[in-house]
Amino acid sequence: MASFSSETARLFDIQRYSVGDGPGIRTTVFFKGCSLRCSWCHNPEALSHKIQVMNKEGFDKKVGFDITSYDLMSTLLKDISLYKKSGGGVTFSGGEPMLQAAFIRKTLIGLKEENINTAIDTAGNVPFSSYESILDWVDLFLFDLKILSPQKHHLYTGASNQLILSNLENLLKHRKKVEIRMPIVKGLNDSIDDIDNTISYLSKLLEFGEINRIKVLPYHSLGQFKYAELGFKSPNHEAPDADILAEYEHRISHLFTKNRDKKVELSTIN
Amino acid sequence: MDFDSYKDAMYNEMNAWYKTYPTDISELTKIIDQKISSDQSGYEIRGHIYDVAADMMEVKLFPHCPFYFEMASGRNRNIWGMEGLGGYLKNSKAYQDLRHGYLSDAETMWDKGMFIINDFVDNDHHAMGIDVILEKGFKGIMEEALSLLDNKVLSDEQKHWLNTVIKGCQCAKALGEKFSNQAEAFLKSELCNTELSKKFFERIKNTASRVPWNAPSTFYEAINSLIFAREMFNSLDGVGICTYGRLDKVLLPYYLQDIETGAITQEEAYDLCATLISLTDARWDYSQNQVETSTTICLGGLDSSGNVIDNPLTRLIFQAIVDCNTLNPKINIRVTDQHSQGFYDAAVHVSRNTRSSVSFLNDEVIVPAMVNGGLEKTHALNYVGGGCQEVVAEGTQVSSRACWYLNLSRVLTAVLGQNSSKTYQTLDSSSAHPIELKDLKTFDELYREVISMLTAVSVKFSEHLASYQQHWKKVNPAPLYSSTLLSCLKSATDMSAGGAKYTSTTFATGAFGTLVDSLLGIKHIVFDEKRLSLSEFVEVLNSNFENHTLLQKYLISEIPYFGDDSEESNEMAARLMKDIELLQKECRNFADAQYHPTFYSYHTNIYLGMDTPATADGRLAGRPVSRSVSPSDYKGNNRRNPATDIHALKALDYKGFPGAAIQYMTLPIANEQSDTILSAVLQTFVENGGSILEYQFNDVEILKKAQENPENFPELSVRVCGFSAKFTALDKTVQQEVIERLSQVA
Repeated sequence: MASFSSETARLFDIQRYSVGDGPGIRTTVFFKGCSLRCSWCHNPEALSHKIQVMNKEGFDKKVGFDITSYDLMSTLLKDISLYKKSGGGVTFSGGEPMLQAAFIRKTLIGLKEENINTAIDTAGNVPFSSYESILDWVDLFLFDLKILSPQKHHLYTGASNQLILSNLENLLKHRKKVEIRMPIVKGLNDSIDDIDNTISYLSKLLEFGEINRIKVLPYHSLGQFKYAELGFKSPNHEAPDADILAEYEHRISHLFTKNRDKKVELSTIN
Repeated sequence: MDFDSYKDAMYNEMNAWYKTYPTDISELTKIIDQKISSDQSGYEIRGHIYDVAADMMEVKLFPHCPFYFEMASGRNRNIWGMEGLGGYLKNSKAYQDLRHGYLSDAETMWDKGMFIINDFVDNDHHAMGIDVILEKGFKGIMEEALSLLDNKVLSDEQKHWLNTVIKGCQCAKALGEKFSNQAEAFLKSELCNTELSKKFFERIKNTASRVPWNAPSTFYEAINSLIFAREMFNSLDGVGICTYGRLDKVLLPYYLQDIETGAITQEEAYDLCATLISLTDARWDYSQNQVETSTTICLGGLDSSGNVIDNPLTRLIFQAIVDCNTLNPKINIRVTDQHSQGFYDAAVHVSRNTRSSVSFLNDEVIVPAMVNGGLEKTHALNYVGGGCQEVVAEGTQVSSRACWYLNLSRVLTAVLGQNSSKTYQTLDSSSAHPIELKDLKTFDELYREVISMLTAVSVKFSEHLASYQQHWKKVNPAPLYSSTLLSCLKSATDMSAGGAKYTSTTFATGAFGTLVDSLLGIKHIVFDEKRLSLSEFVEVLNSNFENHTLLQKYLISEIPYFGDDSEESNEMAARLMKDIELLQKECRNFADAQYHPTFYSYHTNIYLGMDTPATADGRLAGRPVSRSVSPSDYKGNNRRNPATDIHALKALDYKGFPGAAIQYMTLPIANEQSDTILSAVLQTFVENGGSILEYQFNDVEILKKAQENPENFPELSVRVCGFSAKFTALDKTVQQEVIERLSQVA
């Protein structure tokens, strides 16, 4: 069992000038280790907490490094001017950042002392107590909503979605700002039933709190080469058809037209 | 807006006229040929040119253009200032002999890939003294010249020069009268076929004989004075005036006065601005080889007292730029830490919504840099970008700078003995001599050799150039243009004789990123990791990494590089930059003034790279070197992005670069690149001490398609480096470089 400390974090990347992980210009910190095994994952190097070796263009490169909160803060603060001027900040992503909540809590407090906007990009499969420990210092949660059928969720991610959905509902009940991110993969969650289930669930979620934004993320194969670099077999998935994406968008838009008091931004990343 | 109602007609009328260029001026040049004798000075010959232009040169009005400016001077459609009547002197044997002599010397002096050299003086990239034109008119300049002739003890040369200025002013008067007469004639002709053309001809008839002979008194007259004066200098003085200058500064008093008195409405002012913006575009044929126009306008910044310029006219012109969406003129926006968020947002909005090349010039760095270069602050505050972005103090400074491009990385390859025989032969053995690589025991020893070589090359270059530039006044003086520059008139000395308040020269240095990265490559491979000896490494470079692909990839992707914002690359860049600044100060020009260090590339990085051997940063032989002071485009974006580029600036001191330093930034295409995000990038660039920023974004996939099927993309435009162009009209090599650099961030 991996040990998680509040003194150091295990990361696999720090991406500065990130403009897709929350508002404005951000630095996204990628934590290593995840409690799900989504079959379409485009960051396979994020799954294991262990330091791994990837073969990149003939070179063996270590993937993963440990960093202290102090050193991480030094890097994050380099771009404070860009954050402040663009309405951006710092996003903790992964992997599952919430598996290293103790470290994140400490870093979040440091960021808030500098009045920096903070976001957590989470798959949701951790006890709610982990979220509770950081709620006060998080401005935005980017929360994945993957498959609503519990069986299919288990089949394609290796875990039930019960805890995940409950966490999402709880965050909304705590009046936290939440952006929902929905990866759509052909054959996994692109049937009319899937769409019906999703809309019905989103409708229920609206009763708990305000959803800030919904992002529909069609599957892409950009991360496939990384499986080979890690010596793993690449998964074989496809992007959903355009008409399915359009249907998702249409149904979501319709849902929010019906709930005019709920402001939501809808976007599709292609 | 009214402009929309006459825009198409204006474009059509201009296209029909310019298609006939160059006009036949053989009758005019025949007269000049007859007038000159072998003992006449350049000033006297220029005086004949003014006389013949006044007597015989035709002028041209367009029924649907409110301005009068076009002169049938015999220039080509896509060239200004270099040909036709104005180019008479430059195309003479005296000038061409010097030019060929200089180029031939340079060819034998320097190994290929070290320099790109175009001429011995920069006849282009000038900025006229707009304040003088607006305050005095040509009549006022002439009266001052007459007064000097009457009241001052002068040499014959000075008298000749002043008399030529007087002829130039008289020529301006005569040309104004020609416009006026033509307008009067057109009013009675079939050309006057709309209410608008009648209105335009009426106004020209009543204005052209008065202004710019007299100082303008209205917004319309002031704009026309700028256009007219620029055209005169470009057509008759043998120089290229590249900029209309600081429109929102110099035109503001006229605008406010006319709005207040009701002489003009905001809509009418907008139409005039939109017409001015569109003039360059309408005159150019973008499908010709010469794809860029060298025309700029400058907005924002600080005035001569240090007050922020952001006024209703600034915003009106911003709006006109966006609405016109032309490929030219190039837009230079001066920014400071005193400008409001609203100004930044508006400026960024302009840059994202015009096809023109937009550059942001940081007053907080450029003004102190120019002061460090010897300019008084009040003059430095009045700088403009003249050409692409090359800075020059309007009305006080003559700067020769865009003719000579030094490839910094080639100096290192010369030190390493890679094709360096000519260069060593040129340099005295005391200043630089070939080294035994095995004798270099530390990285610092190598670094010192590079700086020593760079110093020797720079000093030799400047001495050689000055020996030619001293003849400038004899072969291509520009008395009328000079008379608008501070000090020229009072000292009765042409700008080509060093008469302006400041006479600067610089060679543009580029490939800074390639040099920093190559030094880091050698430091790591040879001295830190000891993978190879320096001699072995150079052998690998000479083989163009044959059988060493892994090492090449290692150098490209694993060694710290400029722009990754690592401590090591930042330190190396800072050290090198300071040394480059200091060593250039040892160079002096023909007017005995210190060189003004600058970083600038244009697209010479492609052509310099063709003759540069493989470099120690992993770049293969013949490939483009890095641009200006920008990080290398070919290093990819694994560790580099706009945030690292901008943060790395904190380590660098650009206040030692009075010629400024252009940082090109290639941004990924993404919906999220909003005005807010780019405004933050720009403001942080200013805060962190950058000099000039130009960013580009294009969808690389569309460019690839356009390269394959150009016929399907006739209107596709791209920002190249300091200018915009129609993509398919660009040289194939340039197209490829643009695609490759954009691919790195796609």
